[in-house]
Amino acid sequence: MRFNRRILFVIPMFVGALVLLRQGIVVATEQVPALGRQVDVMQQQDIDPAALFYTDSRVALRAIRRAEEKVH
Amino acid sequence: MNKNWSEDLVAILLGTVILAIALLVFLFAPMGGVAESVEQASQAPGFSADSWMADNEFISGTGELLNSLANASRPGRWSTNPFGAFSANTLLFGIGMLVVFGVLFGAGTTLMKEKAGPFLKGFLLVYVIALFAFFLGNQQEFRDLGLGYQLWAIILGLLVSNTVGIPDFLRPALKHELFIKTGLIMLGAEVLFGKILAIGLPGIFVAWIVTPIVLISTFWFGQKILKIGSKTLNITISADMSVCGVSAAIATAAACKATKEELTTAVGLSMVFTSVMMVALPAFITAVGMPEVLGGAWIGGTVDATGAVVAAGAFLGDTALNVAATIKMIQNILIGVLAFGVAVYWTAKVDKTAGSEVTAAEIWIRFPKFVLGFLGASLVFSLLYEMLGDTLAVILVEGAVIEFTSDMRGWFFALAFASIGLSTNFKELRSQFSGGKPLILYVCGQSLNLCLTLLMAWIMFYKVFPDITNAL
Repeated sequence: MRFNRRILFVIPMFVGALVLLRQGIVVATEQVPALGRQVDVMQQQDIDPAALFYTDSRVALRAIRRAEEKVH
Repeated sequence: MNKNWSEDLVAILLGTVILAIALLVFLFAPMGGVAESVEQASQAPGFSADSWMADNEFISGTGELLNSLANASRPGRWSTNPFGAFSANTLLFGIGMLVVFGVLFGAGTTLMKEKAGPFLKGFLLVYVIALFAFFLGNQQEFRDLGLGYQLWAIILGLLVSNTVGIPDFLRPALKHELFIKTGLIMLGAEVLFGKILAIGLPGIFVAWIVTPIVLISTFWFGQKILKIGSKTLNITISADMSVCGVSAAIATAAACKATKEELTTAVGLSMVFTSVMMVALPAFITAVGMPEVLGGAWIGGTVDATGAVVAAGAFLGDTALNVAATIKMIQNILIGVLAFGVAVYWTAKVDKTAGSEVTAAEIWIRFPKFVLGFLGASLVFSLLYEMLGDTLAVILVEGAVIEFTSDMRGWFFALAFASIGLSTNFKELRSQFSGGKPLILYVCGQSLNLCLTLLMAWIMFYKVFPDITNAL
């Protein structure tokens, strides 16, 4: 496999895009109050918003058990 | 033994082996001791399974090793210092996990009468991309916005294949269907049917009546009004929007044999809209002063991903969080019925030749067999859960077995999405969006979902079962 010189261009561009995206999220979190409050809640309760299924989230599992206990 | 194993059978075999190991290590071996300790502890007033799990070591050394392989092999959380994601164990367990996958998939490819060597050579790069996807998904700001490993695996794969290109040696390892189907067998174990009655009938009405209505209406709208050319794209978007986001998209796409570009489109739409709804919906609910139970039920029935539902519910308060997570869980359980229904409908109706009668034998031949593995895992785990009783089931099944298998499932999906990205062309992906029809389908379907879920939640929680609302 020959070395592809495009790598030298793609990697710095991608890393730069990631840094910009992160910075954009930081600014948006500061400027948009609803987003900022949402992020605070997630960090305080250690919530992973990318969890796919209820079993991926300990917070969800605990919440479900609380609801079950209250109803039954 | 000369017969080739199909990809479905290999997925069922690999999934069953992992689930059997998990049951042996996390359930059957420690069961006697744990049952005795729990029995004693439960005599004390105020006993709860959560606090017992926090205070007791109930996972054996072998179990800890398996958990570390599945979890500590991934880079951890980090914010500004990327090196903070790696500990001394990450490399060690990362190599261990690579060896485990090498053995599993090496055996799988051999059963499919393919050479294991070329697969394993290419698999190394797929694995590295999946690892890097976990690394980016654990970055604090990306994580806060719900940009998880699934999205990064696709993006990284696309970036490599569409810029520097992929070498030929990688192609035998791009087995996204095998990775997805094996992950779906694991997911089956997490679909516990007994839990649909968690909060009684209102939960079933909101999650199991509205959801199929929205799913079928959106599919019909896509076919008859928008005239979307691909039925598989239509049903995959309809399922991810109406049921539970990425996991429903994966299960539906596999059941109806949608293309990787169609799955990528559905996943992308779901993740973008989930990030928006996770912030916008609780802000709206707060602004209009909607009660917590109603707001929680609305969020649980409409926001796609479980994590986003939990985040949005928590924003409103504990009651909303409890209701939202429970409604979403009941909706999650629908995924088994959905995969089975879509597989049957596609085999018997969509894929049949015009004017021909389809015999039961033909349906059986074309039926995606992994769906049976998925349902089988679900039935076995649902029965085990019921047999163990509430406390032991929470500790041993939810707190130990599923804790491990859900981490393994995360790995399989990360490998699948990396593989999809690596084998997808930007041009093919762009063609999925021609005329903006997938976007229109998603927006219209979600609008219907928002209206019907709110109406059903209000009727059920405030008109028909107000006692349950008061108890919550």
